[in-house]
Amino acid sequence: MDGVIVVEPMGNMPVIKDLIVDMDAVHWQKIRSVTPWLINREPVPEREYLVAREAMVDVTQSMACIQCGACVSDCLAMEVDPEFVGPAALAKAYRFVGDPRDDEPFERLRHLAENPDGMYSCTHCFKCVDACPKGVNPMGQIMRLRRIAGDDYKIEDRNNGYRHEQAFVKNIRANGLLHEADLLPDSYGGKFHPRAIPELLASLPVVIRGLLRRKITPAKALLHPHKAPKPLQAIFDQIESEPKRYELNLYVSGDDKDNETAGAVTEGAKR
Amino acid sequence: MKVAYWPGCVSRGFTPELHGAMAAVAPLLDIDLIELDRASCCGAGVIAEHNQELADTLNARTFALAQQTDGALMMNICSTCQGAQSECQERLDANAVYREHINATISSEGLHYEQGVTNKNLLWLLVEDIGLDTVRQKVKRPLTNLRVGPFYGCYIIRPAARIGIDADHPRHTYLEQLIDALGGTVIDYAGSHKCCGFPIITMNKTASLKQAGRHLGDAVDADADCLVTPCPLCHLNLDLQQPLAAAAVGRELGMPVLHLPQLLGLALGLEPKELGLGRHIVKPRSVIDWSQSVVAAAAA
Repeated sequence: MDGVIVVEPMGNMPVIKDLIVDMDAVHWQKIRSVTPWLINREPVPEREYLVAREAMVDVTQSMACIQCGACVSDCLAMEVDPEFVGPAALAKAYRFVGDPRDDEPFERLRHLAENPDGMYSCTHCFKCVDACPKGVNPMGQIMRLRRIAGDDYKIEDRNNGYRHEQAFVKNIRANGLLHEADLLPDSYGGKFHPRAIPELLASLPVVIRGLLRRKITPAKALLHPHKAPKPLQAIFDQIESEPKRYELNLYVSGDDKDNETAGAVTEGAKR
Repeated sequence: MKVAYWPGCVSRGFTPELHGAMAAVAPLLDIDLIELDRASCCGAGVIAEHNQELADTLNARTFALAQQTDGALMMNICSTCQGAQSECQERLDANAVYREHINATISSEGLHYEQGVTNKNLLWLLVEDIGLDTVRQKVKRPLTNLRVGPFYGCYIIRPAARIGIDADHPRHTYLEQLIDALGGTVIDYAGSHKCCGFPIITMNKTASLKQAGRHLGDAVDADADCLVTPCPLCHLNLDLQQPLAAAAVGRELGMPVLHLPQLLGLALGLEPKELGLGRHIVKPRSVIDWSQSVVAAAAA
């Protein structure tokens, strides 16, 4: 936008020479790691599978990937964690997790959730969304993987991804506003959980400094200054108890401007 | 200018100095804050990840509360709130059937969201509504010789289309423009538009702290006196966690990080103490020394 065009080799991949990078060492190796093919749901029908149109339109978004590697090149998490599976491979993983014909969505998700450099290492930075020339929205696909892993399959991973999500939702339902002092221990399983204790001890010097600077007060940390109003809690209870998630996927539905027959709201299948 | 004011959670939690600084600078800029004290957390992307309808309903409720006030628009002071709320608004505004479904849920409180709320971070309001010429006229203590590095926070600059960045609204340059308008020196360094790492602090702590440490180190190498950020969640990783970030990257950092209203307040003539600068984990000595030297020079 400032009129200057910088030409340089792609990022996050080793440079072979000049502008040539080794995509095989990073990009393709990560793509291969997510089992990038359909595992047929058995029994395989004699003719074709019958699937909902919306479900297939949904996965065409990640199928639009041309494997250019632009999202991998720009990924900010990979800058500090080269082992991170990364946006292209995770978008590819969603292409099969979201495909109703695939037989192994649970195994795929469990693997990506348990991997310390898997889907919970994405930082929500949106770099891949802007880098993609085909509108694949890799970060959006990663969020869908997390939603299905957490909400549909309740996969309690060792990286605290599921616990953090649950702790956050519980925290806001109770307090209306985020109560940070509870979120940290609850994300590790609770104040007295064996996993939480080393983390809390490691944070102790920071907590003490925060107390000394009056950034954190004991009253604020221990008591709950806010409480969610009842109508707010009712919203949580109503939506959380619905048998299906009610979702709007703009890729599938478009918006009212391009779609006069508005109303193409999709339901997220709870499995 | 009267605005429906959404301070977010963290400004009333672990960064109380941000909430205080905003209250202190608002009258100096003729901003009348109508605080949305019944509104709830925006979900910070985590609730949307868990259940999109829930996040959209919470934010539709906040927008509806803002629309009940006589504020000209809704203003926030948190990059993450801006991004998370913009994402929900995109869905709410796109589809009438979906919007009415959400509205049915919040109707029990007598609330209704009308398509098209204007929700702006303070940074955008300063540049687009108040105007940098007006801000410049109100400066009482120009930030002369103060070397300031911008740190935006991802949610306020990406994705560019949703966040409204175009040729007429180069919102990814507003911090630099503002630092310049306040009389400071803009420091160009690698991390200004990158991620602080905060969202994965409980999931991949090493990567999270390395991200924060690397950007802070780049700012040290560029000889910045301080960073400034419109995002209190970035502030948590860059300031509160800075001792751990320094350990993660194996170097000393000591880089002060100011909230946007704090930097603004200094230039508008407020004292470091009034702006809560003493409440930071990394004491902003360079900034306090700078302000004392300016006062001493004025007295001489």
